[in-house]
Amino acid sequence: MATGLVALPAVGPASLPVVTYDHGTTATSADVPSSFGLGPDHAVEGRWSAELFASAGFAVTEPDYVGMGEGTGPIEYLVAKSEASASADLLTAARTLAAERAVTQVNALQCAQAIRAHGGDVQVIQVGDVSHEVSDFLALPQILRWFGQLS
Amino acid sequence: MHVSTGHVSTGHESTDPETGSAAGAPTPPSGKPWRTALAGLLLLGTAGGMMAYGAPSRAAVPPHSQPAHSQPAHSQPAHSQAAQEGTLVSATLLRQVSAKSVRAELAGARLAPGAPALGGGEVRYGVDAYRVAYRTVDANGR
Repeated sequence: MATGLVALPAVGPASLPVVTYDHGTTATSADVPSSFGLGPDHAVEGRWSAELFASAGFAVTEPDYVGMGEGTGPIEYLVAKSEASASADLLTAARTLAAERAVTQVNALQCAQAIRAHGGDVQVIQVGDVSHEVSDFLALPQILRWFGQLS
Repeated sequence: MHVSTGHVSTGHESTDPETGSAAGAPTPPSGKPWRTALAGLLLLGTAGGMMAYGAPSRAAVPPHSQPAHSQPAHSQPAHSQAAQEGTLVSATLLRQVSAKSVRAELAGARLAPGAPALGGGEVRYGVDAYRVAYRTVDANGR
């Protein structure tokens, strides 16, 4: 079993496009998106990224690394295979949750298929005089605008 | 997408003025030391991903009725391991954050002092956040 964060617009469209976000390195197994930044020293990366996209009308899924959060089994850090399968499986689970809220997810199946086929890793180039993790974070608003233009 | 560690200290829990629930709005890094130095070393080669297709529909619907605060297990017969993958085990509503609170939070959402914030200019809805437990397999298919 694995855990992850699912964020949905509280009120809004009955049909939502899906965004899947895989978190970066954390130092403890509790420091994962599903903590939603609520515990001491828990990262807010997951919370903020989820809020950014969900508040704009996306269904957001953010799997914890397999074995982290409240997941079972050994931690599979930087294991691309389980990272992809966990991402795809959380998409499936999130569809069930969304359906209970009378919300459908647009292209969730295609998204899961793409993850299984290509994995979830994408090279990112550092921009500006900031650390690479900040570079990634700063790209999120641009990605949001890009996704919004895909329609 | 190569993602960040985001190791910033979280602030105290606050009450959401619109929902009355604890918003738990985190604060930008302040007094607490970051773990970025350690995490930064570990992060080299970190995998991350983000995928999306389509864009939000503009058709609005009424508020979703009674989101479950903690839902029981969604068990299904285990015909095969493949059939179990993606099964929703539980969904726990962590927070309901109003649009106003999200906007304020993102306006100050920065991972480094002096870095630009994510910004709340695109906020249109409040956010319901769930911790979801689900079935999946490890790298060995177990």
